[in-house]
This record gives sequence, structure tokens and C-alpha cells, in this order.
Amino acid sequence: MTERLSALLHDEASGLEIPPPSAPTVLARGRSLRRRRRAAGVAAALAVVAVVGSGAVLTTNVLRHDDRAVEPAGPSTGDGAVFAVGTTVFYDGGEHRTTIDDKAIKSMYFTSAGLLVRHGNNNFSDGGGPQRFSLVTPDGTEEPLSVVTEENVPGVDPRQPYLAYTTVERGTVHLLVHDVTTDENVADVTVPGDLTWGGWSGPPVALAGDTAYVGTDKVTYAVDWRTGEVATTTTVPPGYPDVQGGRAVTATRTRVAVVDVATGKTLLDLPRHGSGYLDLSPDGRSAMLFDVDDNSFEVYDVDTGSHVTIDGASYDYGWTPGGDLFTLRKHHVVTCSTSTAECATGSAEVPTEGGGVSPEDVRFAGRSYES
Amino acid sequence: MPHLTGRPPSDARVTDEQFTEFVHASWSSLYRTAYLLLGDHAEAEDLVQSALAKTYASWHRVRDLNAATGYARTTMVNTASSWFRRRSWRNERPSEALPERAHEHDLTDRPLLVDALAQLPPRQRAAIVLRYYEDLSVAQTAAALGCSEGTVKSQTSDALARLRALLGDSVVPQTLGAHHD
Repeated sequence: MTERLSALLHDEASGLEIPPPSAPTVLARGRSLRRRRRAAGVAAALAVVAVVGSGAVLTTNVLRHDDRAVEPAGPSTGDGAVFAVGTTVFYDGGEHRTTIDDKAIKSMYFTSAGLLVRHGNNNFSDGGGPQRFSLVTPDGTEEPLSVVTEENVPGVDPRQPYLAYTTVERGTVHLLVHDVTTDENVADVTVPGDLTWGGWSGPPVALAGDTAYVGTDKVTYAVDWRTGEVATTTTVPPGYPDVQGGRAVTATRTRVAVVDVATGKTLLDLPRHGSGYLDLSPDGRSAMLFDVDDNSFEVYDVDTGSHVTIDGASYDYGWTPGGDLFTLRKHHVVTCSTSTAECATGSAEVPTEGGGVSPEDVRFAGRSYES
Repeated sequence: MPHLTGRPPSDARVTDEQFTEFVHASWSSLYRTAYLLLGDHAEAEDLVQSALAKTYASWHRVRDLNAATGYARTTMVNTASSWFRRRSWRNERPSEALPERAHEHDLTDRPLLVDALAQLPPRQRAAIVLRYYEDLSVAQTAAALGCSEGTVKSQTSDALARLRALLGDSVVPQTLGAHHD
């Protein structure tokens, strides 16, 4: 029944005057694009070296990223705030925006390939149906990925272009690692574990380099996803593995701490008041102490233990890709330095609504919204 | 042991001569689709150039020349889809240029089809082109446009209703709708 419409379309197409192609122009644009991608990939990797400052180990990462022709670093490599209002993603401190073609955004993650957005039929982190993913590339293009999860806690390392998550098939837990630049799985590792996981569809995951941390009821597994080697670890507590930049958050009734997951060394140890907890920056260099006090909160340099005090409520702030803090105030982005506590208000105006089924919902990139 | 997905060698390259040959071989087909998607010659040429340039820059994903045309076509549709969102494409074109219904449709009057397509919002237009020119399934169209199959069905249905009003039942029969797959 569509034959006539189809025939008209083909007639129209075949009757077009086709301009001759300019292969040299295409090649020039292609080379330029390839150069930009390489430069951005190396710059992103070098930025990691500068940020973390562990030359010997991270030199290897630079070479690996270059070898794999990682896509250019996206909005996540800029210093500006990244957040979403409804289904609109704002990056570069709100100066630029793009729209996700779905009903709602659930959370956003920094990767070396760009901003990874988790979205779906609603903004629920679990219990809300399929969780879809898209990569927002440096030019603001949304590239939908084939990955669809359900009630999962994914793991992402900002230094890498990977999304790690678990599935359960016939009672067996699989750790899947997905390359967001090629939209292909690069690893599938079987992991032992109990079957409760606090109500998620599979054990929650954190990613740090070649190691994925898979949290089960009684123990956290450290999985080398490149070799398939699975071991248990006591460095990362069982349950929800909270790892950022190779550092993990731990808590007891009276203390909160940050530990190096590779060495187990305690880097920061603080008294815990009430139900307060630490929230690590994406690179693991800084930690925000969430507390009940809505007037101000403290941000710690994990390596030196020094801290600054920021005005406002901790839960109103998110991390910028560069490790500073930001919040939205009177339709503008306010960015605060984690080293000086000085804050600056951006010029970009942020709308109240951004589309979708929850148009006023605000989500900060890098912030966990798991429940 | 993990299953490590195979990937092309990182040093996979295409020579300029090979890629130039590929550009010439694929240009016309890509251009036709691009023009139907955008309805503007200059924009169509820019879109095809962009898609081919991205294909060149991403050759490590393409693997070989046989797969290049499919990769370029997918890249082109994705790029167009991105343009729809980022440029003024999101603004619907004015509808005053055409009557609500063509009384006596002349199948030889090809500009009428282009004008009718121009009355559709960009993503509805893309759905029509991909479904009825590229002959993609609903699922394939959804994947190409980065939206759900339900969205493709509803946009196709709305577009067909609009085209029916503009071109007449003889071109878009009443029985066509969202259920078509």
C-alpha cells in the first residue's frame, strides 16, 4: 500500500541533479577531524596525568588510549559545569546544550569519550523500566548506544571510554564492559555472588582502570576485566562499591574515610556525625562531606587533608569535570573553587524547564542518583 | 575467562586513492537520501561531506570498504538527526504554501512531493524517507533516529496523515498508518 509513495520518493531522488563530489574536500575534512580527535584524546589522557600525578602508571594509560583511537574527549573534559534540566543537557558551564531524545534523564557520567547519559521513561534510578544510554560527543551530538539495562548501577571511569554493568542469566552474574566509542562489548566475565543485592537487577559496579568492583551481599569482587581474573577485596566494602578515580569511600558508625583501592592505604579519615557521608569528586582528589547542616559544608583535599568551607547545603552542589563544585542559583551556574572556596556566577541563563516528562528536574553529571 | 570482542587492528588504514574511489562510488546514493531528508541542495551536500569525512576519520571502526557505505549511511542519518535537534530544524516549516488538500493529484508533478515533504517536521520527514525510500523497518528506523519504535510509528502515522491531506488518498491511502511495518 505504500508503493505509490515509495515510487514518488524514488522518482524524486532519481530525477535530482547530483553535484559532483569533491573527494579532496572530504579527505581534508576527514583528516582535520582525525587530527582533532587524536589531539583531544591525547589531551584528555594527559589531563589525567596532570590531575592524578602518578606518572609511571598513567603513562601506560596514555599509550593505551592512543592505541585504541579513543574518540575525542567530550564535554566532560571541559572545566565547566555539566547538568541536565528535564531532557536538556547543559555543558561548558551552561554555555552549550543538547537534547536527549527520550522522556527523562536519570543520571550522567564523565568518560574519556564524552558525557554518558542514562535515560528512560522517567527519572527513576531503579524501578522505572528500561535504562537507555547515549553518548554526547564533543560537538554536542547525541549518539544512542545499544545498551539497555534495568535497575542496574553502572560503573564508569572518567579516564576511560567504558561502561561496566552486570546482568544475571540463569542465576549467574555477568560483568559486561561496553566500549561507548564503538558501541560494542569488550568483555564478559562471570562473577560469583549472592542473589539479593539490595533489590537491583544485578550487583552494582564501579570501574577503576582495568579493575571493576562488583558489590555483592557479603563481599566485593575485584575483577580484572581484561584478563578475566576474579578476586575478593577487603579494600572496598561489600554492597555498593563507591569508587571514584581509584579511591573508595568507607564508613563506620563513627568514622568516614577515603582509601586507595590499589594499595588499601587510608588517605583521609574523619569523624562521622550522624548519618553524614563523603562524596568523592569524579577524579577522587576531593571529597565533599555531606551533613545535616544546610548552612555550609566542608570539602576536603583527599591527599593533603586540608579543607575549605562552602556556603549552602551540600546536596545542592555537584562536581565539575575539573573537580570544582557548582550549583544553580537564580537561573545561573555558580562555580566554587575547592581550593579557595571562591565562587563565581556564570553568564549563561538556565531555563526552568528543559523538556520531557519531568521538565523541571535537575540532574548533576557525576552525581550518583541511585536509591 | 572473558570474551574479548575482536576489533580491527589499530593501524587499519585506507589509502587516499581507495577512499577517493569510495567517495565517488557512494556519493550519488548518499546525496539522494540526504536531499530527501533535508530538502536543500547545499545542506544535502554538506551533510554527505560530513558523513564521509566522519567515515574517513573513523576508519578503524569501518574495517573494510565493503562495510563503508553502510557505515557512511548510518553516520549520515545520525548526523542529520543531530542537526534536526541542534539547528533551526526543530521549527516546523510554514504550511501556508500548500493547500490543505490536493484535489487532483498529478503524479508527474514531482515538485509537489518535495513541497509536501517540506511541510513535515524534520523527524517526521526523516521517518518517511527512511521507511519508504530507504525501505528500513520500524526497528531500523528507530535505531537510525535514536528513538523508540513507538515514536517512529507515531511520527510515521502523523506524517502519513499530513501527506494524505496534501497529496491525496491516491498517493497515501487511508489504510496506511502506524500499524504498517
